[in-house]
Amino acid sequence: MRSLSLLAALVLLAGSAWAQEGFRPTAEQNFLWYCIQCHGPKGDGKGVNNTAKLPVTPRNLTDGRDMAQFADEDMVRTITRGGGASDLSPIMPPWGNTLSAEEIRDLVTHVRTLCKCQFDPKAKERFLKEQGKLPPQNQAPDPMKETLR
Amino acid sequence: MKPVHSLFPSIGATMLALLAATSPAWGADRGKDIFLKKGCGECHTIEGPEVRLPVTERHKLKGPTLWYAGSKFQPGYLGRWLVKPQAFRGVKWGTMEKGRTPHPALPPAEAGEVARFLEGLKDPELREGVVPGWGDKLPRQVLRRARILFQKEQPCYACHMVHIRKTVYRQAVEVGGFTGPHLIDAGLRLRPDFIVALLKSPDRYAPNGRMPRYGDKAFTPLSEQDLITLAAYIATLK
Repeated sequence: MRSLSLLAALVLLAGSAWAQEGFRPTAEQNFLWYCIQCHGPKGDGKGVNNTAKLPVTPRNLTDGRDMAQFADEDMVRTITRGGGASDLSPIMPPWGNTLSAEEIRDLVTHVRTLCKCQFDPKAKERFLKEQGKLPPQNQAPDPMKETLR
Repeated sequence: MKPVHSLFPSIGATMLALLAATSPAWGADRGKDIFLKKGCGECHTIEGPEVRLPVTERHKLKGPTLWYAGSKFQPGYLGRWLVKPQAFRGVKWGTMEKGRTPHPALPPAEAGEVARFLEGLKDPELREGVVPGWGDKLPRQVLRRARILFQKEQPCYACHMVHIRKTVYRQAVEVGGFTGPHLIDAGLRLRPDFIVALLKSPDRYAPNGRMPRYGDKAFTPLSEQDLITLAAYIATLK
């Protein structure tokens, strides 16, 4: 009973927030207002803020080979808490206080349509290797370590 | 020689002019008249707080709200800016097109009066005296933390152009994005207490912007001290 009333209160709260907003924008509308600044209108990373002097370039969200490394939860975390939370660049700011959880879920679905890709664990492994964050497998034993033993 | 009584009208006119020049309320009224006659109100609202619009409606806004201009801008800045205005963003207002939205200039006398009027528009709820009066000499620890916050943890310059001095460039260079107002002369322009208020309550001061909301909420654990540190640092950018 207590959990039911809690649920009812949550539904009411969410309802009032939506009523205040008037309506819930589509993912594309949110993308074209917020994300466009760095990722560009097409999502190819060619936003107006993509300048040569920034330490990183905004990710090309249309690159399916690259984007396949991210699971939906990775994208939700990155959008909500910023790039730093996913071991990416903190230049990607946190949007969790700006967009609702539903809007962020919708954005992830929108990004999937841009990259035309699904999560592929092998792509993640490849990316980690390229970044030097994963030791290469089937590596010959290090003779120095053997000597030290 | 003129008779004494014929001097009274000119003395009266001089006194009126003196009164006008020294009375802020009169100047503000005249400033408001100019503001309205020149059509500034077509792009800038002077009553607030601004209502939060859906993202699809925000392109209808033609310029930033000025209902708290007196709390936002440093005294004297608007008067100088209105004589030779240049938009703060590197993109045209409401678009992603590089360039600056042109802004009409005012003659110095009118600019001063409009500025006096705008400087009288204050938000009574904005807390003043939050940022200590460090000026340009921030304590070393504060400066260190501010640089980490500004350049590393929450890289503000991704959207706000700044001058950063880096060893590789040997001299200060313009770094940063175009979609936010530049912070190159933010110390001359913005009041530090306003920066804290904006970061803490973006819904009140910039509900229709593109900036992510920070504050001391769940996903951006910036403490009150961090906000003060950031504001104090931004106030040193000149």
